[in-house]
Formats: sequence, structure tokens, C-alpha cells
Amino acid sequence: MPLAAHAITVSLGQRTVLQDISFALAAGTVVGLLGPNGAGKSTLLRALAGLLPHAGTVMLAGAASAGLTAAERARRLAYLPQQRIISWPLPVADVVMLGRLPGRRLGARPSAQDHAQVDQAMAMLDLEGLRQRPATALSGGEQARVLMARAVAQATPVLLADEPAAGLDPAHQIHLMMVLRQLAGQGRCVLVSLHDLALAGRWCDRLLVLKDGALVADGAPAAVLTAATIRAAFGVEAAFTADGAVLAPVALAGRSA
Amino acid sequence: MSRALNPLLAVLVLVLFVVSLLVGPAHLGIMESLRGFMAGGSEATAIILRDIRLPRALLGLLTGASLGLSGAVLQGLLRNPLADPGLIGVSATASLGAVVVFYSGLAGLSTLLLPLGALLGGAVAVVILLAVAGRGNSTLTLILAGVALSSLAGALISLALNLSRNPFAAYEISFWLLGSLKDRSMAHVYMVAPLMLAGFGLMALAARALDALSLGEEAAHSLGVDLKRLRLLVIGGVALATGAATAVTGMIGFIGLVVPHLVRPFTRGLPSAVLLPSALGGAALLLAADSFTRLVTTNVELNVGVVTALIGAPFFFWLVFRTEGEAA
Repeated sequence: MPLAAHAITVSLGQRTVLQDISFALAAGTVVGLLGPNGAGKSTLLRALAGLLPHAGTVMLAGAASAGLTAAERARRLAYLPQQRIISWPLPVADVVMLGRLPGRRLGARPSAQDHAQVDQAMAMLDLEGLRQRPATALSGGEQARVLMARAVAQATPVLLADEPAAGLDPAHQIHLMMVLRQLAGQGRCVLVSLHDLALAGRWCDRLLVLKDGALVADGAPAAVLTAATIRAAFGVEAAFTADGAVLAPVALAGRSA
Repeated sequence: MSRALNPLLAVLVLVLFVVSLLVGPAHLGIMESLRGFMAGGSEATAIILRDIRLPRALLGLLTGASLGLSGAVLQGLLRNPLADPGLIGVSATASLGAVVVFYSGLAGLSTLLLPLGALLGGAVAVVILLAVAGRGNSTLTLILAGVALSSLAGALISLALNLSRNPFAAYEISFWLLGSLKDRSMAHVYMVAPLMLAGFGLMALAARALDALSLGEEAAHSLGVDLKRLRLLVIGGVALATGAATAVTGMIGFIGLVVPHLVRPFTRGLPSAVLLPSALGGAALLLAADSFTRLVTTNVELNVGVVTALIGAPFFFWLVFRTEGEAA
């Protein structure tokens, strides 16, 4: 298993934000992390990335993450934060190349393999036309794709992405999910937090649902995205397609549509 | 352009270094000056060049490089183009150390007691900052601690000026605070050069992590950056370089703030790519400003710190408005 979490508990001050979360992710799968605002999705991803002190253990390809150095962890796991920060007007290609830092020795120039990984990531995210543009001058959606390409170029067995689809137009949302499927096809394991239930149901192999810091559902989309689970976790009524997939949330639970 | 930048700046520094050796109140010709370095010249020329102008030029080179590099590194760490080496409080506390030496009257005993006192003052700030960096989890806390140290040191300097019963001591303190490279000896160079070079080394080790930090602290962490180690490297490096610079020259403003801005547009923009040009640019700017103070003849020689601020502040004003224009 590329990533396994055992009894992850996170407390911030007196408040328990995540309670006893355990799961293991298989290689070659896209796993969606769902839950209402404040359920603990970002906290869970940050704990898995080693950014937050937590109880319980995170295993990366059989090694305890807590025992790895930051550099060793960076070769096994890439994490795309929700907050999109690009501090300097760097060319797009240079931002994506930052994803290759963990594999490079101090002072070394990017190798042919580094350039190949960057080119591949940029092609996947449809960025070739923007290669030399300053990333800070791009639209929000374009910046999101640039930062995603950075995480993809890191070429790690595990990719954690915190709401990468937020702020993307529908075409680029679908394109992004296709990229995640492609990564899974290369044998990588992707854990992605999402708010769009239809997108999650359509493109993920498996869904984890968090509510109030606890894991309330875990399974295949068809099993998780039922009217009852959606009502319990999100407090909304959803409309479904004829074959049972979520179409869209349409009303608050307990009120008529 | 970005490839030619460093060689161009290096040539500029070299030229300005030679200019710095050639200008001064004693009007020596170029050939005479050159002979002063070789065995052939007169003894007076040799003394002027080796004991007065060479240390001055060397300190201009090293101090300018220290300030430019420190500014670039701090701007990278804070991801903020307004960061200045003075921000972490080491130059203020180093100044306080020097002021204490003036105030106590020890300055008269040896010219080296002044920089020693300043180094001691800077060291106190470093110990406090490293303690903060070692336990804290936030760059902001670290900078706020530096700002607090700066304010405290500034208040204590004002207190010393306020309480000074000897008007000459107060005058000397104010004058020293203006920053100058005048009348420094090779002993000053030997005292601070190793500290500055050690600081350069620490800052160079931070270069790659600063690049990763362009994407924010969380992304940098996921790229394998140990943020605590990075903060220690940057604080240690900036403190060594600017503390040592302040100890021998007093306060020289604006180089650390302005030079990284000047060179950044000629690079691809990554913090690591800005470091060497900032060091070279800082050295060039300070050497030029210091030569300028000797070329304009007024009754009193201008302090180079005054000149850098006079050039730097309006220039910075222009930069701010230009940047705003680009962002709009």
C-alpha cells in the first residue's frame, strides 16, 4: 500500500478536529475525499502530508512517515495545498520545475529526466502554450493548473490534492479529473478533496466522507453517494440520473425542491 | 540577458573597485597609484594605497555584497519585496553595541573596540533570534521579534544620546550612525571578513529552499524543505553578514532593499537566481557611492550612508510606483 493511515487524531487546542481516522489507499486509484466545510478534509490531508502534529501513524510504502526526513517524504508524497501561492512573477515552466527539486542534489542543474517530467506534466495539464508566461499574470484557473502540474512533476507514488477543482470552469474540472485518472493509470495513488459530488461520483474509484472530524462513509461511489448518506453528511437532497449517479444537490434536507 | 548578468556585474564591481583605489583627497595619478602597490613607488603613496584606500575598497566590496545578498535572502524568506536586512534587528543592536562603546568612553582606547562592541551587540540579537527560530513555527513570529529588537535598540540609542553629558560623544554617536567607510584599517577587514564569508556560505545553503518557498510554506514543506532549518540558515547568515557590516561601517541603508529589485528583472525571477547578482550589485553600488563621496568636494566629506539613502529613497519611490503600474 503506498499510503496507510492508522488511527489519525488531530487536536487543535482543546478541540478534536479529526477523530481516529484509518484507511489504506491502493496504487492506481483515485480516491475522493468529501465532506461539508469544516469536516476536517484539509486537516486530514495536511496531517497525511506531515504538516500537522497528530496521534496515530501514517505509513508511506511501508515506512512510517514520521521517521522520514522532509526530503525523503517529498520523494514519496506530493501535496498540493488549497491555498494557491506563487510569490514571484516566475515563468510557468520554472514553477513546474520546482516540483523536481526533491530529487536533485544541491547546486545540480535540472537533468534530462527532470525536463522530461516537466514537459509531460505541462502537456497533461494543457500548459504548453503558457510555458514562458509569468505565472502571476495568469487567470486563477490557469494558476491552479500550473500548481497542479508542479505536484504532478514531482512524480511521487502518492499525490494529495486539496480542492484542485475549486475555481475551475466545467471543462477544466473534467480535464483535471481525467488527468488524475491518467496518473492512476501510471500506478500512482491519488487522494483528492472535492466539493462537487457529481464530479466525485463520476471520476473516483472510491470515496471517503468526513463529517465533524469522523469518517462516516468509505466505499465505491455507488455505495457512498446514496440519498441517505448525502442527506446525513451534507444536509442536502440530491437529484440522481436514471442509472443512479448523482446529478446535483438540489435542495436543503427537510425542505421540498 | 540573465546569463550575461553575473559576468557584467562582476566586471562592473572590478572596475569600481579599481576606481575606489584611485580616488581620494591625496590626488595620485593612475600610474603612481599602481606603482604604490608594486615596490617602485614612493613610501607615502604605498602607505596611502595599502593602509587607507585598500581597506576602504575591500570593506566597500564586502559590506555592499553583505547588504545586497542579505536583502535578497530575506525577501526570499518572507516572499515580500519590502524586506530589508535591517528587519531582523541585528543592525540596530550592533549599532547599540557601538553606541555603548562610545558612551562609556572606551572608544578612545582602541579603534577596534568599536566594531568589537558592535559585534557583541549583534551577537545578543542573534542569540535571541535563534532561540525564537529554534522553537517557533512561524516566520512571522521571527520577524516580529526582529522588529521588537530593532525598536528596543533604537530606544536605547536615543536614551544614550539623551543622557550623554558630553556633547562630543553625542556628536560622535550620531555621526557614526550615519555610516561610513572612512579611516578603516586592514585590521577591520581581518576582523569582519571571516564573519561575512561565513554568512555568505549559510545564505548560499538556503538558496534552493528559498526557491521552493516561492509556492508558500506548505508547498515548500511538501518539496522536502525543512522550514526550521531554513529559518536558522537565513537568520544566521543575514545576522553574520549584516552584523559584521554594521560593526565596521555603521548604518548603511537602502542597499539591501533596492539592489534585489534592480537585478530581479534581469533574472528569471527565482530567489536563488537573484542572490549572486544582488551581492555583486550591492558591492558595485556601495563602491560607487563611496567613491562619489570622495569625488564631490565639500568642506566635510559626505557619509556614504547618507548618499545611499539619498539615492535609494527616491529610487525606491519610483520602483514602488512602477510596480503598481505593472500590477494594475
